[in-house]
Amino acid sequence: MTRTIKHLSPVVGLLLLVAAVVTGVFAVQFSGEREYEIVVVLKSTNPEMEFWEIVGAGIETAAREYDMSPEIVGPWLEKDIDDQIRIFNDVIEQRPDGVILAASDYEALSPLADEARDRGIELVTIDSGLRSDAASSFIATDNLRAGRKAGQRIGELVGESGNIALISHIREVATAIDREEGVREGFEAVSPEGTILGTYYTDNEIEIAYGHAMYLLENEPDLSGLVATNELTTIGVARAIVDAGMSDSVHFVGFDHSKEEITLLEQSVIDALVVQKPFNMGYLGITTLRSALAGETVPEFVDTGSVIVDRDNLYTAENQRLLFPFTDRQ
Amino acid sequence: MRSIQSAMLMAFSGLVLLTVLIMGVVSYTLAEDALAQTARDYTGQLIGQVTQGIDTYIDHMQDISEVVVRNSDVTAVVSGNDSVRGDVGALLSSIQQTRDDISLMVVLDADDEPVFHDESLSLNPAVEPAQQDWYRDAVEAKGRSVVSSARVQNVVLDRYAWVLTLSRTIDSDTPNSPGVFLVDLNFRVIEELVQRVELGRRGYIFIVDDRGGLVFHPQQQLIYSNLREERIAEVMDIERGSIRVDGDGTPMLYTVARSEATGWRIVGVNYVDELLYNRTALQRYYALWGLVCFAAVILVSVLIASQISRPLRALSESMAAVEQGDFTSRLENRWHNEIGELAHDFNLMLDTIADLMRENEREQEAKRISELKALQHQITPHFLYNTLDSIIWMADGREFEDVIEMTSALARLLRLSIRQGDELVSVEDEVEHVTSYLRIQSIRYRESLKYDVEMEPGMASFRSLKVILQPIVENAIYHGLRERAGSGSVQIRCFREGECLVFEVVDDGVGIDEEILPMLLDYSNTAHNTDDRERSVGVRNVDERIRLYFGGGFGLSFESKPGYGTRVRITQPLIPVGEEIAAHSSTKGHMR
Repeated sequence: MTRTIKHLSPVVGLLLLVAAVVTGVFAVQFSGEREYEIVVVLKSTNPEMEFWEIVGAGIETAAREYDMSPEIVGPWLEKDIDDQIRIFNDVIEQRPDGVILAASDYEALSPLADEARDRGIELVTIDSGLRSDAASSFIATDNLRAGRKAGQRIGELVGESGNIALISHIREVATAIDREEGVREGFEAVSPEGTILGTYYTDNEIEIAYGHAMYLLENEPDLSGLVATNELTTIGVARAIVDAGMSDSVHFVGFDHSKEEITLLEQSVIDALVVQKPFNMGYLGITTLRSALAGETVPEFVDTGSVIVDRDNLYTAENQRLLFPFTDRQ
Repeated sequence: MRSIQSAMLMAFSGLVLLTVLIMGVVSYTLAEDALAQTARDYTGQLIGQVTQGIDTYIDHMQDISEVVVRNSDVTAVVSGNDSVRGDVGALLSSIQQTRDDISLMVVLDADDEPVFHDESLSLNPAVEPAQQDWYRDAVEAKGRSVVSSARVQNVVLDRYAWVLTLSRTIDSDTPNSPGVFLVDLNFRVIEELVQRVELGRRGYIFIVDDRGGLVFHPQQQLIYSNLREERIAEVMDIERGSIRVDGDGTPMLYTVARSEATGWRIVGVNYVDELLYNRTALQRYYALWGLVCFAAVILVSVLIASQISRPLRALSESMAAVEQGDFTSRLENRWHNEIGELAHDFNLMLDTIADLMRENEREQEAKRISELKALQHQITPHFLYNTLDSIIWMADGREFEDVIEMTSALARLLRLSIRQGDELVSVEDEVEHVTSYLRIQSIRYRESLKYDVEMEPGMASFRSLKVILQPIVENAIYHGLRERAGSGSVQIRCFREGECLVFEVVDDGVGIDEEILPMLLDYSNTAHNTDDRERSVGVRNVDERIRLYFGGGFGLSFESKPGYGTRVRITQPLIPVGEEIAAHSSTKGHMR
């Protein structure tokens, strides 16, 4: 009997091997991927904020594609930094697998980001960065370059010795810091004789932007150009120009592309808009976070790019696609 | 050594594995092809349905535009009759309200003054309608309707919407300045048409117009954001049918159909691995059956192989037993095939061998007994003749005392010799036998032969093979002493040495040459001359008899020095009287 077993053993071994391989293959096929718990903390959840609406559309498109269901949270208004800190803190307590954060403040959210990392939460920042290096990836417009484009354009519009003013959204937020810097660089390169009369902060409120712009338009006769650094600031400034009846005499370059901004661009109140790609930010935020969670190497910084749009190129096929998100078609 | 069973198993399983693999791969490939073809045909049908649906939809929209364009109020407005503008607005509004896929309807008169379906709408002052593509295309089409690709409609103030624009001219009184009718279609109906069709879990349908512009794509925004690319160039190369496209390492199948009404290409995209969605099921099915077949064949092989190898092993075990000397084992024959015949023959052979062995044993025994007898009696006639001759001569010479002594010695000698049956006699009898012989010889040789017989006390009662001393003594006399000048002597000693009974016959004759000495007991030796042979016959007989009876280790040994004499030692086991069985049976054992 022992002899029989000894002689059978290679065959039995072979059978077992085949069985093991087949079982293994099936097992791998059947084992599904775990669904990640992901929270997105935006700067604003106000549906009037078209920029964040489009970011949300990008997030949802990616989530649908990868069968994920991220929770989107954030303060009502961008200026509510304390609110965002509180919300982010709650999110960390909730211990999700990953967080996508658009930080309202470069400094204030950094300690929390460090804590999130320490708790093993994968962090990806979009739109606005942090002092902390806790995020595995930062997906945003290269705001320095975007600012430079705005600066160059306003320089070209006002000529070599024009005077401009800068209306910025929030003092300590990374996007504003970089854009201001970029505008300065771009403007100085094109208009070496020109002067930047000042930088004014709006707390990201249309009324404050309107107020600053109106004051400047009424009291600065030498002012020939304005630059605004985001959506609401641009709208506030544009409304002031319309109300002052100075669309022909003052050049204006703004940021982002809400419907109102585009109408104002068509009406020549705004000369040019620096357009970001918020859809891409949202979409790439999710795909990058997903890769990071899967243990893949992700790029430290992804520049989603920016385009300068004016009346002449507003309805080219490329810009149509960029300015009017297809998701908003209905 | 590899057993037949394992060799057969290996061969069977190798062969079957190969067969199963080849069959599996071939039939799997065929099944997969069939599956792929079915899936392709099915996708083609689905895309055909979508195309038909789109054609019907666009035809329907053209019918609606026909109704508007042919309406008398509309032509009146276009021709400058402003009084019916309200009626035209009402017509447009009534049509628009019945369809939720129409987002905008506008009639532009000859001066491009608009009538909207909704009074609250106004023209975007920043837009010049005559500069728009849809306007120019309509004028160019001369009354036929044109459908744009997906575009942003900006003709209405404060409204920007992705639409498909259907436009056509409206005849007016003023030639060269026609009116234009515009219908914007949102993507609801097309989306519905497309979503009704499922192409696997990830497959999708997209539509491009004949200029390569995207009409509809489920991931339109991703493509517009340059986050995804669509293989539009490849699709534009073909009119209809299907192409395989490598989508970043994932093979995909693009199935293209052409819409008659619009010239659009409706493209169905399948992921090939999904197209063969039950391929894994198929693989599993084939793998499973392959395994089952394999296992079944292995099982059958094991059974068949053991059917063959088990009797063979029994046979070989039985043979091994025979090899060890056990001729009694027989195979239990319960197989009715070649192996059964073999077992039968094997048993038959064993029977024959056993018979032969028994016969051989009997023959050997008989031969031995007859040999012993022959050896024992070999001496008698020759000696008897000589002795009687001597007696005759002595009687003739009237030496009656000698005659009496010789005759009585001869009588003793004969008495001891002819005692039948027992081969073992007492040492006393054997010594008496040789003494009688020596007596006879000394009388014959007239005192030139001296002899002396010594026996250690107590030796008389042991047993000795009979007639062993006499041939040695005879040999000493005829070949040792007779050749010598003057008188000679023979000394016989009997003593015990350990567990052996030893007789020693010493003569002071001429001795034996060194060359001849080793040949004396050489049974195979036939080369030496007649005299030597004669001389050795008697001696060898004694040695042979002792060996036959007691086995190796006993027998004769010679010691000789030419010119000085010879000493012969006869060694036998020490057997007390009444005990002979043990020695006898050990002899038998040796014979085997």
